[in-house]
Amino acid sequence: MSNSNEKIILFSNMQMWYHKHIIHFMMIFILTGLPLISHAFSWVAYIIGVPVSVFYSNGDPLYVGIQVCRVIHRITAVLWIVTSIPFVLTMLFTKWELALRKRKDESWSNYVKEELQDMKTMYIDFSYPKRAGKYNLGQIAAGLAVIAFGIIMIITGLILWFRVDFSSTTVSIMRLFHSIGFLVFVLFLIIHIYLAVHPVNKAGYNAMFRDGKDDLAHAKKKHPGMFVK
Amino acid sequence: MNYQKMAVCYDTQSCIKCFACIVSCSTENRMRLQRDYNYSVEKSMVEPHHHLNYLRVECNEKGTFPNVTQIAAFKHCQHCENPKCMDICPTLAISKKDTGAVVIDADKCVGCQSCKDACPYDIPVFSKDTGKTYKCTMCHDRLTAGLPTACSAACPSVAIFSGSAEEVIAEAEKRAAHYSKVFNKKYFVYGADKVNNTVGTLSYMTIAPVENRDDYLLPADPSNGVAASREVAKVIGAAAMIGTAAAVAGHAVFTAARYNDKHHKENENE
Repeated sequence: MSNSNEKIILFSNMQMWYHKHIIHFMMIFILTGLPLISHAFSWVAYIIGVPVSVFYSNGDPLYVGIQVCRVIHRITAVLWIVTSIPFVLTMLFTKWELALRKRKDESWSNYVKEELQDMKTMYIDFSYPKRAGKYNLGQIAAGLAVIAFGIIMIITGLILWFRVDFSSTTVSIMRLFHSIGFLVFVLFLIIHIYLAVHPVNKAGYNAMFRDGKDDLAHAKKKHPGMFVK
Repeated sequence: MNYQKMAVCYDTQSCIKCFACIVSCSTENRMRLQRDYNYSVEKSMVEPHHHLNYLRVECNEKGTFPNVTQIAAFKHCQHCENPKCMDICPTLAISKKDTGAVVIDADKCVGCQSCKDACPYDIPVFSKDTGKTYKCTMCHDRLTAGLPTACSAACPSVAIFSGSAEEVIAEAEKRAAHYSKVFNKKYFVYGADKVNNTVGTLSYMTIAPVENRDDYLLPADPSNGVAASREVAKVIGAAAMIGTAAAVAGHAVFTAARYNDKHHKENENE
């Protein structure tokens, strides 16, 4: 047990609020998107379509299920975009220097090498890192990839939504990038969810889903880079 | 009920470019509106319904006067042996019939236009009015009733003919051989033999000179590169997901065996 009751805020209310919504949005995106990307997931459309088709004169469950999936997918996309606006505005004013802890006088190769060493220390040796900031290099890379692919998903999704105004080739290319973006997101989610529930990150998990705070003493051990002036 | 495999063939050499086939196709589809959707005769004929013109033609002239050749290239569903549109349709609205016809069930079509993206010939047409996608049905209803397709029934020069696949292929190859001999240039029957692994053979064939195959929109290797890339991405993605899941499971086992949470117990937040 820590001797100090001093706390440090790891996540703001806005971050926690957005993260909770993102979980719901991603679940809905994946559930409603899977039957559109492959016949192997038609059962999802059937599960949705069977009860809803009772209210339609055209009672084919697959047809109704796919239509419902498409509508929910788009409504969720709009909600995601709307929800992202205050989050992005807030994040623009976040102190990002706490994340990227590269010193001005060190080379990129040394920075990457030491960050990778820190990740090994965390997840192979299960010990505390030497220099990692609020986020380690893997988290920073994954975060940047999610931002990039999130933008790609929004742009390609909107073009697919209003596809009648675009050429066949454009639409086809957008479908390709939308599919690739989806695959990248799934890979990210597998790793993200696993590491989130890993015992090494228990404090961070609790902070995200409780009050956003961590013990100061623990944070100093786990994120030493955050406290380097 | 099982039906015999049927086929249609367009003979570019015999075509007199009257386009009665196009008119007949459009008329037949309007009669289907009367039959299936209770349209009145007036309404079915007056409304444009551009999406119901399953046969489209691109007319060009090749060469310089006086050695000019008129090219009437038809754009229509080829009714592939391996229909990519059918494979991709999320609502299973597209089916391949015993006759060889690849048909969209309009009642099941959600208008997602996936078929349009997948088609190597860029054939399906989306209607903004109905929110659905349309293409040639090879007159599946007429063929199963023992009638010729609407386009072949209207053709005054028998440049489009339909029937059982065996009969149509035999007639088409006979004509191609004859034209090759008479005109001293190679004619072929596009679709009688396997075109490529993507589409296979075709139920709507075309007799044309080999030297003009591109003019008649008869690609030697029809494919939709972007759609094919998407399929490759899906396979790579599935493999990557399995690999990632396996790596995560491996690390979970490693954690179970080696993890010592002593240092974490210092933290009351955990």
